[in-house]
Amino acid sequence: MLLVAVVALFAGAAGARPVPAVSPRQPLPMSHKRHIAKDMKCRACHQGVEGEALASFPTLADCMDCHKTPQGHDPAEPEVRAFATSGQDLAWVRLNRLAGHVYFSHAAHVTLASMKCEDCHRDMHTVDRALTEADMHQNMGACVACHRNRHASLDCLACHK
Amino acid sequence: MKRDPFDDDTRDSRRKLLAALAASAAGAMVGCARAVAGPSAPPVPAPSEPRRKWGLVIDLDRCARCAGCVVACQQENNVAPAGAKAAARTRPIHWMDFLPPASGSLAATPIPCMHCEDPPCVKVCPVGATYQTAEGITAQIWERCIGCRYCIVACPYSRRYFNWSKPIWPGDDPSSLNPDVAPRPRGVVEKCTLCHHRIRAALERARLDEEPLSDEALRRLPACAQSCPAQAITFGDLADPASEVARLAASPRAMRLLPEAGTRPKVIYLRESK
Amino acid sequence: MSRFGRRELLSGAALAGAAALGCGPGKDSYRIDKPSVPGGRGRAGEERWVLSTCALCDAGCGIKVRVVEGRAVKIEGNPEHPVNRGGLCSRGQAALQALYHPERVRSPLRRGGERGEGKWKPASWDEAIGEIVAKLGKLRAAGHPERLVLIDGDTASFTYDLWTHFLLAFGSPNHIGMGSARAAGVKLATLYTQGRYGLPAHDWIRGRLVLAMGTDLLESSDQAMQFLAAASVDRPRVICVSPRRPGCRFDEWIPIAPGGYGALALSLAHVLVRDGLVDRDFLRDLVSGFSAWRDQAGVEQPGFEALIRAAYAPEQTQEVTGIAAATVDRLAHALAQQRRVVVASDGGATAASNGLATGMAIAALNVLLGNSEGGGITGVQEFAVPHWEAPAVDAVAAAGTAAPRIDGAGTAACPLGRSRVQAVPAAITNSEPYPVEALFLLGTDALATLPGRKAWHAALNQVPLLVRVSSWLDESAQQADLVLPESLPLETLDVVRCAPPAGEWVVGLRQPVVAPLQDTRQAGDVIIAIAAGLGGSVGRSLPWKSYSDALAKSLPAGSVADMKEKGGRWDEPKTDLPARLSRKFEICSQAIAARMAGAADSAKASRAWPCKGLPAWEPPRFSGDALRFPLHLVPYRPVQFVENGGRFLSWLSELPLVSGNPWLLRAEINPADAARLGVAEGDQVLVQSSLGSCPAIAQVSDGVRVGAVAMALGKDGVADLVVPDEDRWSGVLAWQGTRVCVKKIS
Repeated sequence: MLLVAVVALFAGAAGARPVPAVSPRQPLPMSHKRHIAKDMKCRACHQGVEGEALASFPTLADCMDCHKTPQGHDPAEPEVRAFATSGQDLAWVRLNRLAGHVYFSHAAHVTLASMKCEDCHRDMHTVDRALTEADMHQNMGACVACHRNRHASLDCLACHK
Repeated sequence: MKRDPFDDDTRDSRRKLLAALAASAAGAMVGCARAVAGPSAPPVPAPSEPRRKWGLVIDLDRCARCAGCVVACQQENNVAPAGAKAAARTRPIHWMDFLPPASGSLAATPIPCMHCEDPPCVKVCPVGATYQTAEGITAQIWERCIGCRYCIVACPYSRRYFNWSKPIWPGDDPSSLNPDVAPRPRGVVEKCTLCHHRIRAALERARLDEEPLSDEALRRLPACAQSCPAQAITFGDLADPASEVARLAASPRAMRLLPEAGTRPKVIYLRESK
Repeated sequence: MSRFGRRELLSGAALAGAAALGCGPGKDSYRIDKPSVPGGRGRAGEERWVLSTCALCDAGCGIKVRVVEGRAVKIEGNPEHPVNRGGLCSRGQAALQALYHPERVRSPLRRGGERGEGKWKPASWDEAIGEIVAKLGKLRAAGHPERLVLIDGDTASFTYDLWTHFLLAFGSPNHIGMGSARAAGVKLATLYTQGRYGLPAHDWIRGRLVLAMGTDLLESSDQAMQFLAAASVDRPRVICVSPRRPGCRFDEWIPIAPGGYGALALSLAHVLVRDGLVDRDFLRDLVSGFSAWRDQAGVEQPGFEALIRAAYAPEQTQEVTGIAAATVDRLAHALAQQRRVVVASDGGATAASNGLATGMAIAALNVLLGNSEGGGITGVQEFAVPHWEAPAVDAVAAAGTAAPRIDGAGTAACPLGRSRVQAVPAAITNSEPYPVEALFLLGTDALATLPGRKAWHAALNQVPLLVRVSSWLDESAQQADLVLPESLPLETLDVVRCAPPAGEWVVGLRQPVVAPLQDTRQAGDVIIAIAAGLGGSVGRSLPWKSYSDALAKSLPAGSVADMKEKGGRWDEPKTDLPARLSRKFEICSQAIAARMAGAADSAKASRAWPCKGLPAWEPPRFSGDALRFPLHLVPYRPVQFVENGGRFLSWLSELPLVSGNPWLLRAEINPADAARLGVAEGDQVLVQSSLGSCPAIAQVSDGVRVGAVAMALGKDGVADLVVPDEDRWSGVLAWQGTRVCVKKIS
């Protein structure tokens, strides 16, 4: 029993726990694949990556910058304009909430370390549906390996709170 | 789950884990804790940054004993009140505490973790949950702590606290908890961190703004220093001769607690009278 | 206790299953799952800082509150604010615990069942206000508006002024403050010596020596922050005079017998005058009544100097003060040598039957040394008042406000006082001078914090309509018919009078850091709604749509909006020498002389005020037979004392300022007394007075004078021991006038 418990503990710590692969219902049916296919930069919508810890989400105004006129022929696309005129609040359902003991700063990685979004968020260009937690999942082993390779801080306090 | 090209580390650690399970269970836990997630190599500071030595100066002649620092720390770091029953068993947690007046002395003494240069608690931790950062903070990793409480015994200043029970917030409502600090569960030892989350944020902000981090920005950085109405607490880099803390630490009024213990604490008190 | 520490590890069965799936411990113990915020939480990671003003004492420190995703998570001091300059004491920071506290009253409550049964029915605001309007309307219709009484613990905000305004229009003289139980002794002394009611403005910043009379300097007084501002610049030397060693930092503690402060102040004055140490220029130019003078009738009056020389030598007062003559001499010379001295006091020094005389003696001490280089008094603290148009007062209201106050302040029972809250229970019980039909209790849990609980209980039960305006269902609220939950200060818009260090003018703005979390309203909006419901001249006098509208009209146009950016408005601090007093300081108070000239018992009056307005100091009275109750009770306000709702701030109850369990009530006794009583540290004891008894844990400490028992107010039972005796002239409550005995409970 103890053996099993110890295996379970470290299996868990090594990030092998499964994460939900179910898409929550988002207010708008946004597809990363289609936007990336149009050569859009991640930063155009996630404007917080350069200066803040949290990569922010686009506001309705950001979406409407382009979508105020029809973009493409997707039958779902007019929903954006309909949403805007309905007066609702655009409240994205947040997927990836970092574990409570982790501090991650997008600004430190994007601006200070000059990393590219794809370095961690690898497959966004393939995701045609709403994202799941599994799509957003990162594991500590990946972080540590990259930190080791690039001589970034391996101090626990750099990322734990 | 998708196969992760960065997954080498986790596969390696699983192999080491299974090998180590041949030994006793407790030994396996210790060994594997280290194998899974470092710091196996000493942290390498970025070349352009000088090695700092964070320290705190508390001016007992200015401190009015208002205990504002105590509440500031509890609020900033999500330290729950223990309640009357637990308090009867000496279980309230105060990262910034007050020593009652000593005989002959005039008033109580505010006392956080000393962040010793030679910390005894680090030496006794069986799982490496507490260690000393390159910049001199005696750090505690909540997730790694197994609650053996050796460190509590080892600390000569008694500045470490054990969560004997699950911290309870009034109404079980965590709305006012600070999102920048993880609350600790039952079974974990906790202590003052010199508000390292604020230090980290300030350093990051300085680098993003491409401005050097000034001593002025550091002086009132931890929650206790910031809240003190008498400005009795000063924080900064003891290794920087131009800093306020270095200047105060060299004052004729400067003293340390328990110098004979050999811990070389980095919290320095200023006191004129005996 | 688990060797491995983590609960998760022990659940073997669960883990076996989990292991099969390749899962680890699972639940993220470090995650903070916050409940949703009413009205949505704002953008993920959104953070803002809101400037406001603290409400936990009258200092009015500027605060900034960090709000993350719609929730307040930290209160810090506003670095730009002149009162606190970025610092904040334990009380102000602990205030955050109130906001999300589960015991907050969530909506108006109407009593179901008998008073005190604890049965409540939620009501809507319209219902609650409707009931109040109906009752108050009947009072006006019957021509008895004076039968509405308001007991108000707040004086600092414009809400207080709105109540005053409303009562004038309504027709009741009974806006009764808590001053007599707090610092009225000092504030009345300022009124009679400087012409305005309030705390004196001291030059703290340049003062180099602080003589703290009866005040811990950290107690719930405005002056805590002023002292700390001085301490942050360059630490002054602090000499504390009190029966109990203070909790704040000090350089010397001089134990004094309770009620002896006035004698000490006069003895110090005696030595200063005798040894030629007073500032003659200052006294000649800025003080009247020091030397001999002629009154309006042409009669020569001796003046302060003559009276002081003739009496109050340290040898004569050492028995009543308990301080050796040599110490008084030394202290007086130390003050004179330093010159830049602030003699600070608040309610602690004047809480005896000789309260007003004590307050005036201490005030006099401040002017004897002048203020030419710093320290001393620079005037009265300046406060803003709202600029509303005077209320419309109809005939009913005029008759009502002409009626005498039920607390007897200003009458023969209390000729020099302004309010006398401890007299209210007797007045209600005896229907003297008239019955009370409606009583509003705000800003104070009177039943729990004032002495004479039984009398209060009986009196409150007699009032037909009892309304408690409060966020908490505290003891007073338990007896009410209606509980109106007011929004917490963190949810409120208001203008606040602040108490800055050098007497300069500071107005604070209080603004909501979050929208009200419950169905609560600001008191100001409730008053306006009641006035609107009453209509007529009352409705016309409060013509605003809401309190926010009233505030906008209370100060010059745009002021309130401007204040939102800074959190208030203030002038740049003065850097030149302290201001000259704007009018002469009256050591012999003409106002007192005038008021006592027609006093009912004029023989007694002239003995008490021999030199036309100069008080003769009387030894303090103590209640309780000296044989049965041999010790003096010294109730004090510890740093964590908050009068309204403090018991819900558990961080304060747990402050580690005592050894052992901070939640417990302690009776602090001197070792000599403890030995005599056979009481050891940690023993359970019963402290008894002629009014009641209170269990406590004995703390044997050389920080308490022989013959005294010190106990912290704010914990249950201490106020019940106090016999509500008072200063016969000013109505100041004699908190330190009770004798007790201490018995070990085996």
